[in-house]
Order: sequence, then C-alpha cells, then structure tokens
Amino acid sequence: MKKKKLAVIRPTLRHKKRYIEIQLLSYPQTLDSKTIYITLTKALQKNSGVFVQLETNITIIDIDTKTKTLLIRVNKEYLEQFISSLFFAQSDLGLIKVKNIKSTIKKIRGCK
Amino acid sequence: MKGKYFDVVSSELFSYPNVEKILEELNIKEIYVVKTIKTKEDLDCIFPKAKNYKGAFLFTDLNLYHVTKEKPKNALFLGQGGGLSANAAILSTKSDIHLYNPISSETSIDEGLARIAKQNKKIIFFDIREIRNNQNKCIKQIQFILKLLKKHKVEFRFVSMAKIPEELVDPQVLERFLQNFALEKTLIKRIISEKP
Repeated sequence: MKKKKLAVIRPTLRHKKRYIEIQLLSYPQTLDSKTIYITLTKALQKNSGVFVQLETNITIIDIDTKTKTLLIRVNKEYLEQFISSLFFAQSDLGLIKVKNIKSTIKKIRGCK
Repeated sequence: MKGKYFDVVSSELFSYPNVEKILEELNIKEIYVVKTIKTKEDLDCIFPKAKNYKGAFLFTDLNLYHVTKEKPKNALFLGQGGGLSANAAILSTKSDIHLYNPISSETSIDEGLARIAKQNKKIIFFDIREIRNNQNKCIKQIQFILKLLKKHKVEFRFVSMAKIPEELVDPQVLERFLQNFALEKTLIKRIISEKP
C-alpha cells in the first residue's frame, strides 16, 4: 500500500503555546516530574474545571533540580487560568514564583 | 513583570531565615509587619528595622484600640472583623482603624455598612490564607462583599498575613487569581500595588 503523506496543520489551526518558567522557592523534597504534574493538573482542575484542564495541555519540558526551576508549556488561550491555579498548587508545592512567560523556549533561555 | 507590590505579613514570618530575600525576589517592596494586640503590653513590640518595613497592629478587641492613647505614627491599624456587629463597630468609628477579614458564616457586610465604610474612608483587608483554607464559605462571602464594595466605591486590599514563607503569594499569581472574582485588571493592579 502506498504511504499517504500526513496533512500539515495550517498555522491558523495550530494550538499556540506559551512557555512558563517557575521556581519553587520553598519545596523541601527533590523534584519529581510526575508528582509535580499531578499537583499542577489537580490545582488547575480545582480552579477552572476539567474541560479547561484538558484543553490547557500542561507539559513539563525541563526540570532543573539545582535551582528548583521548572519549564512548563501550556496552551496560550488558558495561560491566565493556569497561572491563577498556581495559587492552589502552592499548598502542595510551597511558594511558587513565576519567573518568565515567553512564546518560545529560545526566548526563555535567552532571559537567563 | 516589573512593578512594586505591597503586602501585610505577620511578625512571626521573620523568625524564618532568608525571608527578606524571598520578599525581594517576589518584588514585594512595601511591607507592613503585623503584630496581634491582645493586651496593652503587646504595643511595645519591636519591628524589623528596614527602610521599606512599616509596623501594623491587629486589634482583636476594639476597646483596646480606643483605650490606647499613644499610637505609633505611620503605622497601620487593623481591627479583627467577623460577624455583622464586629464589622459595624469598626466601620462606624471615624478613627484610622481599618477592617480586617470580615468573613463569617452569616452576612457580615450589608448595603448600609458599605455606605458607612465609604463615608469613614475605611479600607477592608481580605486575608488570602482564608481563601485557601476555608474555600467554600470564604469565596462565596468575598464575592458578595466585593459586589457591595465596588458599588459603593469602598477601598479594599488582599493581603497574605503570612506566618510562614509558604503562605506568601507571588503578586503575578495573585493578580491572575483575583480575576476569578470578576475584578477589572486595572483595579487588581491598583489593589495589589498601592499601599493603604
């Protein structure tokens, strides 16, 4: 069977992303991406509901255990709800500081 | 995000190491350090000495505030709110004491009290910790009170009253969180950055 080429998603239909760099200022344990992901999704679900949580599509891209910094990717449309939900995530993750919000990883790395 | 923010924190917070550094990192530049006043002797407390730190007193008993003659200058005076009668007692005085945490299981502020608060130039301080710990009751009450305060143009602030560093909130997170209360962005920015 002849392989069919996958259709390219048009830029206008693509989900736009935002990259958020957050720092856990008082997290006593070592960073584990699974527990952090669960905490963030639970907090977002509490703040905005399950449909927003699914659409936000939280992805933990990078974890720096030394500085306790996380790089997270979310859907641009739900950025405000995600940051708002960090208020509830604080009860599990300790004090959270939003360091940077950029449209590309390159720009985030450039800010360091 | 650049900007200077203000917060009211408990004096107990300064028993933890690196608190000054954390406050600096969060861009909280104007800090009121609160001491709860239960007896007259509590007024003689010593606050951390720094340029941007100011003293604040939280009176659990309003009579104690009226009895105290020598009040420190440039300090913030707060009265513990709660039920309708406690809130009415604080809001109806013309002195410079403001209302802190007017949340109870029943109606705590009504139309009349909001009008009096505006006349007496009172500021109402909401405790952020209360929202986190006592969600169902507190969020509903705050939504109701905020409607009244906005209608009568009464000043209000959201403060952390943090006793431990984990209770502090990044102003950026708080700014987004307060949008859930149907407050305009410009108003939110003003209430978290403009000191009382």
